[in-house]
Amino acid sequence: MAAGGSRDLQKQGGETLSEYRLEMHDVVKTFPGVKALNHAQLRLRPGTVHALMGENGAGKSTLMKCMFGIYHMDEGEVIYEGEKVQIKGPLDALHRGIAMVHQELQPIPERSIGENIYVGRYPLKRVGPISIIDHAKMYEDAAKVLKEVHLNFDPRAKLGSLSVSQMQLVEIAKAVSADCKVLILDEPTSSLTAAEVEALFTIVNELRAKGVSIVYISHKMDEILRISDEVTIMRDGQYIGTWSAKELTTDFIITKMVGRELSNLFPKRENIPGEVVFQVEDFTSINPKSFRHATFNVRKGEILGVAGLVGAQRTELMEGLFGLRSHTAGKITYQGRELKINQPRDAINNGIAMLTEDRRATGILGVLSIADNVSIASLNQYLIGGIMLDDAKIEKLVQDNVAKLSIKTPSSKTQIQSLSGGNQQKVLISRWLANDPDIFILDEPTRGIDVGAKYEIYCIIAELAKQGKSVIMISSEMSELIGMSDRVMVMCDGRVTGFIDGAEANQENIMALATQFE
Amino acid sequence: MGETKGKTLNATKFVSDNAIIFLIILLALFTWANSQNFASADNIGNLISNVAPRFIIACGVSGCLITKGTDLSAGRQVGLAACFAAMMQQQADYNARVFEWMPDMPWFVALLITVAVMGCIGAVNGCVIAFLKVPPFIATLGMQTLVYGACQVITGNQPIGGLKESYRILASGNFLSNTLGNLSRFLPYLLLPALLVGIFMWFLYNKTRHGKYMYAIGGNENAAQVAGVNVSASLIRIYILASVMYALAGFLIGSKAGGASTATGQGYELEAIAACTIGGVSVNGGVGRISGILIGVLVFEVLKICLQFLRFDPAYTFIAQGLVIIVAVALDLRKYLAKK
Amino acid sequence: MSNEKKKPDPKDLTAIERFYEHFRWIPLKYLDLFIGLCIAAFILVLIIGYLNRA
Repeated sequence: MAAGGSRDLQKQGGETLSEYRLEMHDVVKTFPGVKALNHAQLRLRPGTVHALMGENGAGKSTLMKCMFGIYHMDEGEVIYEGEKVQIKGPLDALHRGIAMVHQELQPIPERSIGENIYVGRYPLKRVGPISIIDHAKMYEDAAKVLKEVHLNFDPRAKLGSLSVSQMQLVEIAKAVSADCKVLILDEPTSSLTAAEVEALFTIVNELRAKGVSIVYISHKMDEILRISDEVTIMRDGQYIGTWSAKELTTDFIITKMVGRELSNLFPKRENIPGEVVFQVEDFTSINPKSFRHATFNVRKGEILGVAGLVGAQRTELMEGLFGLRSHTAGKITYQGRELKINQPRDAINNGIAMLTEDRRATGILGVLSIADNVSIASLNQYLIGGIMLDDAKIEKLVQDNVAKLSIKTPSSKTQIQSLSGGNQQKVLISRWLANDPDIFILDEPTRGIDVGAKYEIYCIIAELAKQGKSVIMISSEMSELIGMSDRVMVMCDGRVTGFIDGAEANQENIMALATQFE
Repeated sequence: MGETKGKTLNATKFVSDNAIIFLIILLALFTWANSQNFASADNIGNLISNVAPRFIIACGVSGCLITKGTDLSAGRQVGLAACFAAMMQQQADYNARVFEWMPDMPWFVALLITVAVMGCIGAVNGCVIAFLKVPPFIATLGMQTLVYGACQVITGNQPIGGLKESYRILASGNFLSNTLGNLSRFLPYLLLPALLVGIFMWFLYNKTRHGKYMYAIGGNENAAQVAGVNVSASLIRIYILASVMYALAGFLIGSKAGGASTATGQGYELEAIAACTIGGVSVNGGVGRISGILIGVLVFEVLKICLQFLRFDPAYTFIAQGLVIIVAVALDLRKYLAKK
Repeated sequence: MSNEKKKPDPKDLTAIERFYEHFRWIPLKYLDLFIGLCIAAFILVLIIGYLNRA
């Protein structure tokens, strides 16, 4: 069933009644300077899981917000159960039976789980002339809802007592509790463990069996291919097409999402690893449960991938090397010289740079401009008379990097937090490049970045290695490790369990070393 | 952070953020319409003389606020500084001198000593916050009490008076008083230190590494550390600078009031912090401009002087000020809640 | 492995932010209403004070 074919099906059936529960036609939405939606559309059948895919900025969230009434559409219409509707807002949508689980959780941790589930629509009871919240009924209903989604939390417990993934499950329960006919899940598994993902899929299957139309927005290909019936792909605010999930492959999806043939997800690497320059011996954390006796080396112009399961302490080890965590034992040698690193400034002064795992928490200075973010680690280089900052020089630095790394931004004064993930990462890389470090530690460099931008980051990494820099890259994406590393170091539970040559690395031997628990 | 429906809400937001400023401007115009004297050299000069020390204090606190800290000891430090300065500037033949042995010294020596001593207090604040990791709220609250106690001990709880004319003229004199006569009241001496502080702080915040590091720490302290910023050094510098500002302000206030006591400066930090908040310094950290701080201080001082001019019962002035503070905090709270 | 959205960890917040978190319960529009009321009260105080001046 190719794009447009579904409409043919309707004509063939000769039915005047739409077989779609919800349709969005010709939706146009413009923000200042940006056409976010350009005649986008979506058609949902009852009892199906409909995946909505596209790069960041493709318009998926915008389309959903238009459906929900959070945004006002410039053009287009929404047809729900055969009737044209104007949805005025989330509560109106909820009353009609359309519920959404947002990507950005808005939990109220101080209040109980039950209160969070029913916020804005508490069951009321009359006491004399006034209506007050019927807490008893609320908790009873909440308990039922939680049971329905196989969660056994006490609805009276504070929401804040749960982990992030558990809160996401409660968020899902909240939407399910609304007894909806259309359920939108926006990146529902981003914070869930594997077991919880399975629980979610069980719920989704049950809802599908009940006839609910489910919109599933996600970047995770394997999940999409597993759970969905149909897939709609968007690109640059436009509707590209809808396909049956059975006919799709990862490559096809990526091609349609990116709009160009990607013969290779990874660039051709031209770096030639030289002699060993960076050596780490017996590096041990002050925390006995963290990294211990880590010994490895990195060569000049080499990309060392670091693989391991969650909890393998890869990030902790690199943070220790960078001076963000304390160590009790171990030696770091660079070009024969021993390095004493107790805080990030020591590492930076010795030519080490680190791109952290969570750029929002420890990478970007969100409220500051791009110019500030790029220059912050190298301000000593732009001084007039030793005191005053040379704004012109800084501006040139920023523009050079914008050009070199293809950073998309309206101006150098834009707040960095308004940039996309990929561009933010490029700004951070520019920050480090300004110091001309010799060793780059990259922790999950392409996390939360769309496919097109990922390729650009890979090219940058390859270029760094080609210039003779040593790159240490922590990654949890198998394909990324295999596609980009000259050598792969594997860690398990705080120990380095082995090394695999890049050419021989594959999923099996990496996993074998990653699961070598003592 | 989604877009709200249409441009009308953006206009509403702009108005509500700046409502207080609009209202104060209206109030000033109204007061002027009510009485010509309002725009007289005397009155405006009075306003500038009130604004100057408050602005200097607010500039001092701003660094603490921008790095997501606070300095609750500001007021008492101003008081201690005023007492120090006054003690060192008493007339030689005054019979109630605090310290008989105090040598006679020109005012700039007294100023330097005051600044040096208060700077040490600021250093203590900075070290406790940066190295001992005590939250600024607690650390400066403790310092507030300490400084107050020290002031009581040093002054023996006696007010300090009998100040030299050469010291008093600093706050009461005007530039070009010979050529401009009464019009020179538009240019009180106090204008100069305020102007210098403003220019210095603007330069520091916008054109130096210290300023960038300060905004970085306020924006995201962890990220700043990863980027190699020496957070401890910056914080200590910020609190020392704050105390230097308090010292300068206290010195000027001692001159202006013609005396000092343990009561001097009490509660000044509340208005300074509120002025900064109105001026755009937020609890979210990492933002704040000198121009905004000046506007914030002006809001309070213009409000005070208008209501005084209109002969309001002081009680109403207090209530009005309190409401301004509440609105400033509520707007800041809103910014914080809207962010997440 | 996942893109964790952390809920505000009490350790990371300043004293004032902890105080502000207690108000997360209030929908923003009620906060706006409160601000509007305070501004109205401010104007009222000015008017009453003017009428009652010495």
